[in-house]
Amino acid sequence: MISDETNPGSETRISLENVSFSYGEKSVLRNINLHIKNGEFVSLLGASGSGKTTLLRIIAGLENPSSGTATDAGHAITAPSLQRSFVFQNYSLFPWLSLRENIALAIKKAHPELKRARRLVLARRHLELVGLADSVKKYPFELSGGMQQRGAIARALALGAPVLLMDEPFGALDPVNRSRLQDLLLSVWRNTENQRKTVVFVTHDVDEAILLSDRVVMLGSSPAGIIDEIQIDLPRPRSRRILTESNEFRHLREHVQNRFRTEVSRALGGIVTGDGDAI
Amino acid sequence: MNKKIVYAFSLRKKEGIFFLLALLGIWTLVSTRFSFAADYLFPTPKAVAVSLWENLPELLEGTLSSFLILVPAFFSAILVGIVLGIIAGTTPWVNRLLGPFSRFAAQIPTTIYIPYAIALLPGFESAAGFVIFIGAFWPIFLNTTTGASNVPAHFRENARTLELNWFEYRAKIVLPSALPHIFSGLGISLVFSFILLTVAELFGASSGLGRFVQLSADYAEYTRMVAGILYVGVVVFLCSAFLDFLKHRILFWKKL
Ligand SMILES: Nc1ncnc2c1ncn2[C@@H]1O[C@H](COP(=O)(O)OP(=O)(O)OP(=O)(O)O)[C@@H](O)[C@H]1O
Ligand SMILES: [Mg+2]
Repeated sequence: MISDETNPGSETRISLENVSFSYGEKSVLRNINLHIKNGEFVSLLGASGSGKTTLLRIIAGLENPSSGTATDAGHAITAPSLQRSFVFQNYSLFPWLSLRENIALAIKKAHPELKRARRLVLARRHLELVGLADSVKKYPFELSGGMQQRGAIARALALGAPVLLMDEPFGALDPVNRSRLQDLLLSVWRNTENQRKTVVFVTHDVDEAILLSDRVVMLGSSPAGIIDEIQIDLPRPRSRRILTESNEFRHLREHVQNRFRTEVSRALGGIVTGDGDAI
Repeated sequence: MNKKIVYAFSLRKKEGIFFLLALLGIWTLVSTRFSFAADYLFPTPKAVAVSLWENLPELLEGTLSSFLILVPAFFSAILVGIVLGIIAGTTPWVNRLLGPFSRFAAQIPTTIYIPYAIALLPGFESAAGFVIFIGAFWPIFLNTTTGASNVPAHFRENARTLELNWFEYRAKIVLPSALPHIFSGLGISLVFSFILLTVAELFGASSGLGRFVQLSADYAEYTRMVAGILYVGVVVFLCSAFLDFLKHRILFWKKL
C-alpha cells in the first residue's frame, strides 16, 4: 500500500483481538476485532447503549476485557497511560482547579522537565486554541458545559499523547464551536511533526464522522459487535462545503445513515419502524 | 461587610437578630421585675455586662492559657486525622484494619478519659491536651475517611489517565474532593475541643476559661460566672464562625 500525505501509516497502533466485555452478568461487547493503524482517524458510531464508551475505556485501559486482548503498539493494555489521552463524555475537569491549573497539571505529568512558569504559558496557549483565552483563570463552575468540554479537549491536546481517545467530545457544543473544534482537531492531527496522532472518536453525528475520519466503525446493538466498517477515502483537506455537495459524500452518508437507522430501531426492539412511526 | 463574613456569622436573617434582642428583653424583664430566684443567682444583664467588663483582663488571660492547650492539641488532631483519614480512605486494607477499632474507640465519650489522663500524664496541660487531641481526632479522622473513600469515579479515572503518582493523587485529588467531609468533621471537632477543654479545666487547672467559671462558682459569684459563661459562648461562636468563613473560602468551587 502506498502511504502518501493523506493516508495513515501501515503499522498497527491499537489492536483489539476477540475482545468481549461484560459488566457482571450483562454482556456489553462481543468478539470485537479492531485494528487501528498508526496515525489513523477512526470514528465509532452506534446507538445509545451499544458500548462505544465501554470500547473506548478498554482501549484507554480503564477497563480490562473479560476475554480477548487489547494492545497498544504491541504492548498489552492493562492500565491507563499518558500515551493515550482520554476526553470523557461528561466534562471531567477538576472543579477545585482553575482551567489553567487543570491544563498545567496535565502538562506537568506529560513534561515533568518543564518549569512551572513554562507550564502555565503552555496551558494558556492550549486554552487559546479552543477559544477560552478569556477564561484561563476561571473555575469549572463558572463555565458553561460546552466551555468545560473545550477545556477538557485543551487538556487532552496539551498532553501531546500519540493516541487520542475522544468520547463524544463535541456533543455539547453549538454548531459554530463544533466546526471550529473539528477543524482544530484535524489540524492538530495533521500537523504533528514526527508522527500523526491516532484518533478514536465516538460520535452520534454521521456527517461529523464522515468529515473527520479515515474509517467509520459501526457497533451493533448490545451485546455489540462491529456490524460495519466504512472506509472514507475522500481527499483531505476536506472542505465542509465542497464535501456536502459531492455525490461521494452523499452516498456515504446515505449508506451510514441507513445502517445506523436499522440498527437503532433494532436496538429499540422494533418499536420504531423505518420511517419513524411508533407502533 | 464582606458577604462571606456576613454569611459566616449568619447575620443575613433579620429574624435571628430580632430573636436575640427579644431574649435579652425577656432576661431583663425577668431579672428586674420578678424575683423567683435570689438576685445573686439570677443577675440582670446590666450586672453581667459590668462584671464582664471588670473581668475582661482576667478572661483574656484565661483565654490565652486555654488556647495554649487547645490550639496545639486541635491542630495536631487535624493534621493526624486528615493524613490518617486519607490513607485509611484510599487503602482498603488499612481501612479494614482500623475499621472495627475506630468504630469502637470513637464511641467512647472522651470526657471519661479525663481523670485517667490527669493521673497518667505529667502536668495538667499535657493531660488536657491529650484528651482534646483524642476528642478532636475522631470526628476529623472518620469524616476524612468517608470523604477519601468516596472520591467520585470520574475524578479517580481522570487521575488514572494522568498517571498521577501515590502522593499526587492523594494531595491533589483525594484531599480536595474530601474537603466538604473534612469541614463537617472540623466543625464537630471544634465544639468537642471546647467542651473537653472546659471540662478538663474544671478538674484541675490553675487558670483558663473553665477554671474562671469554676472559681466563680466556688465563691458563689454568680454574676461573674454568668459573665464567664457568656464569654466562653462568644469565643466558641467566633471560632466556629471563623471556621465557617474558611470553609466558604476554601470550598468556593462547591458553590455552597
Ligand atoms: N458501570 C456499569 N455497570 C453496569 N452496566 C454498565 C455500566 N456502564 C455501562 N453499562 C451498560 O453497558 C452498555 C453500554 O454502555 P456504554 O456506556 O458503553 O454505551 P454507549 O454506546 O457509550 O452509549 P451512549 O451513546 O449513550 O453514550 C449499556 O447498556 C449500559 O447500560
Ligand atoms: Mg457513551
